[in-house]
Amino acid sequence: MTDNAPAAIGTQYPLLFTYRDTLFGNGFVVEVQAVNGRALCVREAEDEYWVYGINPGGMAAHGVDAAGAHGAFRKAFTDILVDLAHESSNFDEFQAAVQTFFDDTNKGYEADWKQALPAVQRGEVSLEGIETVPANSPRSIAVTVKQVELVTPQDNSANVQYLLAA
Amino acid sequence: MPRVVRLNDVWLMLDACLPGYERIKKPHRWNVKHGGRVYHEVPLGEHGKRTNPEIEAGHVRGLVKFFQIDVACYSKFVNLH
Repeated sequence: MTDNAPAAIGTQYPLLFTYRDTLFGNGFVVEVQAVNGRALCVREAEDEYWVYGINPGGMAAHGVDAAGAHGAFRKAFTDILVDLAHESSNFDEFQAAVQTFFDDTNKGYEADWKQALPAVQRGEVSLEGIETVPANSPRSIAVTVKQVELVTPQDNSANVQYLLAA
Repeated sequence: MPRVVRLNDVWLMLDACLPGYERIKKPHRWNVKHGGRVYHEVPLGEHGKRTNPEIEAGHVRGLVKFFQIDVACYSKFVNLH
């Protein structure tokens, strides 16, 4: 993710992200596919960008630029899934924990996320190379058992996509 | 460098502003639990400096927004902006 130009301090970027993770739990292998999760990227200061989760709401990460902040957010997302896998004694527990984690909205930043949409719609805020998609794109998370015989080397590659919501 | 706050000040803030909260230490982070909800990303602090470490204020901004803690309360304990 690259910025067009140095954005003003306080510029907000409403993001939608899609991630896929393959994880090992207690006696199970799972694939977690998060589609159109919501996050707000904010340029808080010179060389300081934060990405605050909206769904999931219980996390944040930072970097020196928007791409770095998103990369840290992506890693934190996986790390939290691994924590949830450690805490879950079986697949059903893990599935429920992931659903709760993803659905728990950060209502404080959700308000900011919504307020940031018009500036993107007017073309005043953009991110170079990042597509803009409707803010109401359907959001979901799927946790599915991964049959070991279906695991391929492609599972080593994280599916990472993030877009600007408008 | 991001603004930082002292972790002990965060706990004091939560004692006052989010009574009944529970903090749970994970291998790489603290979880803060309240009302059946969990904020997952409160850092432990830099390795080797975990007695009242400094943590980045943005994590605490996320925390106070998540639990919708009033600025009039949290600002008595931590400067987040």
